[in-house]
Amino acid sequence: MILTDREIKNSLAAGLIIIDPVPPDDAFSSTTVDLTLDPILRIFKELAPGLSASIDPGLPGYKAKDLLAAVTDSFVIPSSGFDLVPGKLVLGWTSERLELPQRGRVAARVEGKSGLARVGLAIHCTAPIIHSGFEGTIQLEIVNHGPMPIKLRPGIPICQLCFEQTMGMPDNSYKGQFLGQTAAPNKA
Amino acid sequence: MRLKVEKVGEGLHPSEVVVAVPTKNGTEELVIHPRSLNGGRLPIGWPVGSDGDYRLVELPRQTSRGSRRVWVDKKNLDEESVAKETA
Repeated sequence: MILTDREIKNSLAAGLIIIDPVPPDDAFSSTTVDLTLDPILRIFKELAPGLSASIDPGLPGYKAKDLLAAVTDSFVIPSSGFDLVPGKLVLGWTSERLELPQRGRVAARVEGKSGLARVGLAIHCTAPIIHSGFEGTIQLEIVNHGPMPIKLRPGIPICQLCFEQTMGMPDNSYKGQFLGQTAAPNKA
Repeated sequence: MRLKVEKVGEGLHPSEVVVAVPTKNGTEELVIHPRSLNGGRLPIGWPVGSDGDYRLVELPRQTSRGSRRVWVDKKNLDEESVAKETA
């Protein structure tokens, strides 16, 4: 069940969903709320001509964060904007911090905006779900699938959140149901 | 419920830090918001499973290896906050 704008605002008022700073009224639509682009991006370094490299997530010890720290540079978008050229991936974040307390019984999905999608801009790579219990800014995987550069500016509405009420409470919201218990023997 | 973690570095963005979580299957790392950390402890939900001294808990975000639920030693769970939250 998707929350309407009224229910999202009620949940914000009740502290069941926290967005900091609170989005302005014009950021809401009937069933979503827009979030904006933070000025900081991580841009992938260019490989020197002749150098070949690949990412191997299956290697023991693979750590996505360490790898990304090594192969990207931090970049602050100037007020004049940043041209994302076709075919390029950059990492971005929302300016807003989102918190979905366990008690809220709400999960969310981050999705792109249709106006940006029509010029080829995607903001996530198949990982849209934000689970109950999440706290933080939302990392975006921004790709230009279009034929022309797309200018990214700080503060533009870059994505939208759709909130969904969960059916019942997840296991981790039931207080202490497994505390002090022992697991049933494994059945071989 | 709070889980003892260790901050091991900064994230890719100022709104992120990286913490390490000792688990039954080795140390897992995940990115969290700095505000989530309180005295080296990370708020999590209640355990969803139990096996001897280990509890299966769900982390607020995926670890760098893609896990959401991990087995942690119960001694790393904040029993004091359990008492407070169940009171």
